[in-house]
Amino acid sequence: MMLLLFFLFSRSYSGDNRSDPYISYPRSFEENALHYSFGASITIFPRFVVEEEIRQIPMVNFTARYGLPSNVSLTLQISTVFITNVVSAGAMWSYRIGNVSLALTDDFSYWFGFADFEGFDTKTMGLMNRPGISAGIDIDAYKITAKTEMLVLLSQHTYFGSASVGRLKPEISGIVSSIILEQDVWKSTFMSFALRANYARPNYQVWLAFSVQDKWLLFPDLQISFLF
Amino acid sequence: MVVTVSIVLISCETDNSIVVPEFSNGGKLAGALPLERKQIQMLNGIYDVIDGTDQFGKIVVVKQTGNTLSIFTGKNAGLVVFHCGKIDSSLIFEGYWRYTQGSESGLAQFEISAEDNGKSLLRGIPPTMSFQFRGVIGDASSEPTTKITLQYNRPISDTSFVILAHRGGGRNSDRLAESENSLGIIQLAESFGANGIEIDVRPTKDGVPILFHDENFSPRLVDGEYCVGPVSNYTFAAIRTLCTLKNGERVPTLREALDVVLNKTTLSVVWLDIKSPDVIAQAAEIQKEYKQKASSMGRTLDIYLGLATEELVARYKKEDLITSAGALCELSVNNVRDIKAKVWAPRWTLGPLPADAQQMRSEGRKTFVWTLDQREFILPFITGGNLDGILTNYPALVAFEYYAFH
Amino acid sequence: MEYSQTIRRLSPLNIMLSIKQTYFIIVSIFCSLVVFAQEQDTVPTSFRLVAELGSGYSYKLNEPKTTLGIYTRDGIAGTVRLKWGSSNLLGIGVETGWIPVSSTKNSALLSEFGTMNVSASLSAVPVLAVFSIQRMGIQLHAGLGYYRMNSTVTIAGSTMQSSEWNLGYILSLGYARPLFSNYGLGAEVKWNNIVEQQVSIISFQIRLICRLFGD
Repeated sequence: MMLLLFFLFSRSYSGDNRSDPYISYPRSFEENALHYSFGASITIFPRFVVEEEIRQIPMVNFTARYGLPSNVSLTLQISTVFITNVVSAGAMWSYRIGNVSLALTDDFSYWFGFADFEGFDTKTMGLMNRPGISAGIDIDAYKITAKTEMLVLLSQHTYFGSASVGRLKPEISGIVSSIILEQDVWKSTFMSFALRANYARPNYQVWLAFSVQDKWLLFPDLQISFLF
Repeated sequence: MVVTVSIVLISCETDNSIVVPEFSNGGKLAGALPLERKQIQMLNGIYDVIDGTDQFGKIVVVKQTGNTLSIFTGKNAGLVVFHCGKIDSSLIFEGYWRYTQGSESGLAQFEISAEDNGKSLLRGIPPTMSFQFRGVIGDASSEPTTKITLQYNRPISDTSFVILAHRGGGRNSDRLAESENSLGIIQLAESFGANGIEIDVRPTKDGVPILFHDENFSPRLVDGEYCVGPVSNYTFAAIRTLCTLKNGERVPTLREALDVVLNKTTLSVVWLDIKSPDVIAQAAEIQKEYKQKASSMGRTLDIYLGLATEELVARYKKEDLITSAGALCELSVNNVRDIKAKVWAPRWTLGPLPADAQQMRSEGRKTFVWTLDQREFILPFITGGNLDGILTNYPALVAFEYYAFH
Repeated sequence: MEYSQTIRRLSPLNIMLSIKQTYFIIVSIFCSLVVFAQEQDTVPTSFRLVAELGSGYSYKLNEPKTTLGIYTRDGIAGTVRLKWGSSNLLGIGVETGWIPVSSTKNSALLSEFGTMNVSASLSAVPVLAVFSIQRMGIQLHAGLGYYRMNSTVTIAGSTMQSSEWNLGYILSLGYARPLFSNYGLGAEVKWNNIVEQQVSIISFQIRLICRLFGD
């Protein structure tokens, strides 16, 4: 899936004379402009939630942004670590004041996980809405963005053997604040460095822990990507 | 500096403190005589909540738990633990309440006057439908003033179901000053609603079976900066000298734990979660020794060697323990039959398996499911699981759901 | 078992940050990035590969919860760093070295096993990814990675060694001046935090810097 997307996006760019790539920076895209990124992220959870299990949850990420008229962009994000997968699609509306850009964003995320090995016959899925705002400053080769999103869990279903448990009640399950630096690191090789501070309940990354911890926890998430 | 924030945030873990208050100067119980267990047991039952539904929900389960009386509530997996006494013919109940899935807690004080069933209960006459169990609770250490009235509804019909406290007492639920897999938490397990415990057994470098869950030492479980890496790298003397459990207790041996079970509790089931093949033979010897001790004391105590992996099962067979030791097998029903295990313990994530559990029962075996901690996941197992027991971090929650349902 | 006034902390030594503090840090970092970036605005982008060697005094900041006898928590630490430096905003590299964390000894420790001769030591070898920004010879470093913790214990004549990888990070502030051609000399204050062992160490190191490649 990832390779196919990479191939398609690569082809769509042949011969295109583009500006420096960015994804998170909230300046509007030109109509039909397309940028994308590949990278990896790592989320670190409190030890008392995941105990001796894997505390660092690494994921592979693909992100794309496509420009539409009227300063609107479409956004797509795919993250996977095989047993846990997230697909998000949304839109961004941008507004510019000098070299400062602002944006309103909204994404719908569908996440699903499955475990079908010794002792498990379990799968889970959920739907989230993530409204957010972002502000960024463009300083020559550096684009620095601050972004805050709210996580609204719309529904979640868990299947275990012949039984299942579902929840449809929407609830705010977290606030995610990010700082993203997008820059040239070596001869027009652009990279994005993002830090996210998640203030949230344990969520999809550790679904397999089935934590009953209902407290809001602070946990970091670091993402590094190549921009194209 | 993006990275700076990320790495500082790694340090941030939530503090899960909980305060369990006590009455100053011992409360009214300071001058009371203790109640006998059978007198406490007279109060067992399902009660309707007349006053206090905001705190406890609509019904509660009242049950004698060792030397204490506990109330399990339908709201927030609430728990009230009373120490019990009598002054003349008045019965005094003092202790604390708390939500085991939260941090709220406070003092609790109930009383049954001599005229209001106190005398009849002491004479062994069980409560009638008109009986009301009344008292007050408070917030934190403040004087309890919130009125609670419980109306007796019906007796508890079945107390044979095994509710096993994970790691001796539950992990998140019982955030008292007792560490997991400690002697202290084992003594508290009954008051949380458990009638059995699961404890983790692994060997030290010199082969002493100790209670410890993780393969490696970490600040999650111990204080002691020189205890780093695998537990099996350290001798028993080194472990006892260099580190303590999180609340300052010594890391206990299996023998010390079973001594506590026998002499300081009325627990009926112990599940030894064997963490290494190298400790099976010794654990089996200790299991045999303590079953004999229990028998000589007139106690019913089932001790099972818990086998969770193919490697453990292979060693169990190699040590020729099939006919002598009682095993609890977490693998397939075929493995259970192969080693003649007495208990099948599938993980709950396989879902309820009522047909298999019924088959196990027809073969004279029991089925315990592990580790169930959420109400919505517990209910399908209680209502249609054909189970004999549930391992949980929240014994109070399982106790409420099971006794109230049955 | 009596119930009593008790407080249990699951993570007693952790640095506790409130959500307000966190957002204060985030805003501060955002502003720092903007300021550094604007300073760098007129500098043409160039890249270089730099090796650094450092050594100096280190001191463990955490008090031990209990002591067995004579307790030492300072020593000489060393650092080896390879950095893809840039005149651009962000430099990236790797860092390793050696940090003496602490040691203790008691030739006559009274215990449940009788009187024993006890000695123990703990050291750490960091393997970290580091990021840096610099301005006028001042460098800020932040790094994330793992520390190889090594414990050696001798009790009653029996010696045990044990090791484990633990997550942690580093923050440092350094200053350097060019010596000649590709070499420079500087000093650095480093704060290593081995999060999973809840150990923090501060060190003051002299550093030798060598440009291996680039402008």
